Formats: sequence, C-alpha cells, structure tokens
Amino acid sequence: MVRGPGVERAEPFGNTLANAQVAQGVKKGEHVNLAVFGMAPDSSLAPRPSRGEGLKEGGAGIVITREIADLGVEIGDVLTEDRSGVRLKVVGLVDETVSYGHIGVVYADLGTWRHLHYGLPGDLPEAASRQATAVALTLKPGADVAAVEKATGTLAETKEATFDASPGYEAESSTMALIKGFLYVISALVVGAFFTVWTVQRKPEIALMKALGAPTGYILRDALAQVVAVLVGATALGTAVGLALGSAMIGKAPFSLSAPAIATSSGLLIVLGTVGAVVAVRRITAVDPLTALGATR
Amino acid sequence: MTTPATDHQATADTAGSGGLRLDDVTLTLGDGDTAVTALDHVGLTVAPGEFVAVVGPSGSGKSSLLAVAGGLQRPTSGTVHIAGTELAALSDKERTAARLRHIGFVFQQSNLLASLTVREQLLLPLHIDGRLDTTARARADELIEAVGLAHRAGSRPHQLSGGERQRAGLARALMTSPAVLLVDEPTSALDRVRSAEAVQLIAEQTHERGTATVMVTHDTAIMDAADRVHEMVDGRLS
Repeated sequence: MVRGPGVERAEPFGNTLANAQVAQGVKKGEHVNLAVFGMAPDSSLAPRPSRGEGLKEGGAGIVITREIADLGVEIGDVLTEDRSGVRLKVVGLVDETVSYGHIGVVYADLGTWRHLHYGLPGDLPEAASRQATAVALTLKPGADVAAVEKATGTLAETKEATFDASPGYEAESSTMALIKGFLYVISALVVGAFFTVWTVQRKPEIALMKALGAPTGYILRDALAQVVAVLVGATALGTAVGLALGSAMIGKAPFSLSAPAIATSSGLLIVLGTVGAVVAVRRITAVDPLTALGATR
Repeated sequence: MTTPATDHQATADTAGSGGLRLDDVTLTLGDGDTAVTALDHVGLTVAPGEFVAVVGPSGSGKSSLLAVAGGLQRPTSGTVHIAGTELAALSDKERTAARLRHIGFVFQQSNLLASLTVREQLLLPLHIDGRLDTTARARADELIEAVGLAHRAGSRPHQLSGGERQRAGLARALMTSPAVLLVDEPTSALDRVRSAEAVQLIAEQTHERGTATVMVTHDTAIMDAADRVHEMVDGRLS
C-alpha cells in the first residue's frame, strides 16, 4: 500500500463516530455513543483484550474499552448501529480507559468499520472497500518520510501531532497548559508575598543581628536556607496531598500522575518559589541596624 | 584591618588603649532647617574595667552616643577609638566585624531572638563569626552560670521573666570578650528590685572581665553602681 525507503510497516486505520443501541444484553434499549477504531485484526494496531477474544476479519465482532463497559455493556452483548443497522457483537474487553473526543472507543475490523463509516449494510461499493482514515507507518531509523509523502501524495505526521486533529484536543490541552502556566506564575507570587510578610515581621530581629555584627550576607544565606527548606517541605506535602486526592478520584475521573511529571512540576515550583522569595528577602539589605537601639534617641 | 592591632595599643596614649575613647564627637541628624545636633562636641574616655553611666532625659542624645560609640553610626566630626582602633578608618564591612568581635551591646528589653534558647542566643555571635567550637560552648556555659541562668539555658525568651531576659542579653554581649560594653536602658522593663540586681550584675561583670562599659539610662536610681556618672543634656556631656 505504502512503500518507501525505511517504511517497516504501513497499516490502514479507520476512525469514525457512531451511535448504537443495545439490542441484546442487560442494558437492552440503551443508546451508546461509540468512537470506532478500525484496523486489520492481524495488524500491530489491533487491540489485545484483557478478557474475551480479539478481532476477526469479517466477523462484525467488536472489542470494547472500559468507558463502554462502565455503561453496562458486557461481552456477549449485541449492539445495533443506528445508520447502517449493522449488528455488532461484543467479543472482548480492553480494561483501559481509551477515549476519542471524550467518547469511549470500540475496536472493529476494517470491513465492519467501513460499514459504520458509510452507514451502509451489505456489500460495499468497490471505492469504499479500500477506504481508511489514515495509514499508520512504522519507520526504521533513517526513514525518508518526505520521499514517502511525495510518492504517495500523502501528508505524514508524528503520532503526537495527530492528537491535535482529534475533536477538541488542541483547544483543551492549550487551555490546560495556560492554566498550568498561570498557576506557576501565581505560586511564585504567593511565595514571594509570603516571604515578604515574613521578612517584614522579622525586621526587628534582622536589625538586632546586624547590630550584633552579622554581615548582610550571613543573614541572607540564613534566610534563603529557610526559604528552600520551607519550599521543599511544602512542595513534598502538596505532592502527597495531590497524590492522595487523585488516587481517591480514580474511577470517577481520569487521573494519571507520572514520576517525571511530579519531578518537573515540583522542581518548577521550588525554583520559581525561590525566585519569588529572593525578591522578597532582598529587603534584608535595607534594614538599618540602628533600629535595634531604643526608641529614646 | 578587622582586629585592633596590638602594636597600635602599645603606641596609643594610655587613655585610649584598650577601652573606649570619644574625642570631640559631633553628630548632626537631618540637614538644613530640620537638622538636629544629637551629639555636641562630646568627649568621653572609659578605661578597661570601668563602668560609666550616662543619664539624661529622653531625646538628650544618649542613644546617639551608643550608636556612635558602637560603630552603628558615623559621627559627623570627631573620632571614636575602640581598643586603640579608630572606627572611622574602617570600611563598613570592617566596622561590622569590629562590632561582632570587640563591642558588646545590651539592648533595651534585652532583644533576644524569639526562636533561640538562652544557650543558642549566646552562641549566635560566634556562629556568625564561624568560631563555634568547644571553647565557645564552654564559655557560653560559664557565662550562663555567671549571670545565674544555669537552670534556664534551654529556655526560649517567652519562657523567661524580664530580669532573666536582661541577664541573657548581658551574657550574650559578653560572649566575644568585647573591649567595650554598651548598655541601653537596661532597666526599662524591670521593677526597682530587679533593676538594682541587673545593674549590680553589669558592674560586677565589668570589673571582673575588664570591659569598658557605658550604660545610658534615664533612671537616676541605678547610678550608684557606676564608677562614674555623666549627665547628658541637649547632646552635651557634662
């Protein structure tokens, strides 16, 4: 199908949204929205069910994911797709939350997918029988993607770049990125404000230490050491609380927290907090040791 | 030059060696029409082991005298010698170091750091100086004993009475074996009996440890413990 220098595998992939009704099963009569992913049962894209069976060519069997199973659909149930009237038998379950545009994913073989995509039962026209949404390329190192694009008249994207094409993905992720960015800025400001108050409250003690003969550098080092200790402790505590709350939410909302994500965000909080605090504790330099003497002068 | 060199002491005249000497010191605060003469041609010499009290009403310039004698403020004119070293000749950094090593301050209401125990208050000056060793710890314990706070060594300021805080402040000021001890209104937070005790303790430590001590106060009742009393009026010392 797609040949070119460095292409190890080229596998067609179909993607469509469909509505179906449970025709047979506990939830008989319920309507469900499906994001249907079609692929050849023997391709590397095919699902590996944790229960039941995998896809078979021409079998009209589908493999559901957890989001659909959570609606009460079970292995052995039959769904009827609204437009084509094709009956889909649930043969397997991938016990993971997989969604596309916030709709639960089901996997189907390419033949079944094409019926759903065109909304047609029975035999499909010749042109439709070779249709796919995209072709998944598996590349060897040093593959010439540009040559492949030119030879086939297609446009190649990395997997991550294609995420932006999914409904709402780019808008949602850029909104989240913006919120995250603002939170980092706000946390630096809050930390700065906290240590400003702290420094102002400590003014008499700072004046006293200066009067006793402490160089400004000594007091600054002492203050920054306390800043870092507070920031590290507070960030660790915050991470622990976040992990605990997130774990409690699992099952009710999607939650995933990886070690690199924790490390990056904790690191950023500590670094940005320190920057905010440095601005705050700089006013130590301006404290006059004279104020340690009484008010009677 | 952060330490007063001993050869200086040898060549300095007897009155200035070791102790505190102010020569013709004038301090003018503010400028133009609002200028105030806080110290007006003040001369004062305090020998090691001598306890001098300076009394006067509020605003007479007593605290300015301490500020200038303690290197917290540069005089407008005149010279200040601490243990033979002229303070004006030092840079800001050197003056800070001189405060740390050669000048002991006892502030009003003692001014302890809220989060430190009595022993830690005493060790602080040596920690700042990077000289916290077993000698320093032994000296801290000796001073805590000398001011009668042995049972309070591990207490924090809020657990101490006013008199105890004042004694802790005195012990801290003595930690670095300063040449000069400057005491600001030591009895402002104490009753009559405690005041007499506190000043008696300062007098004892001055004589025992050979510091040149200046105490400023408006409390004329505590002057008896001093070797000499000067009166300050409108920036002039009698």
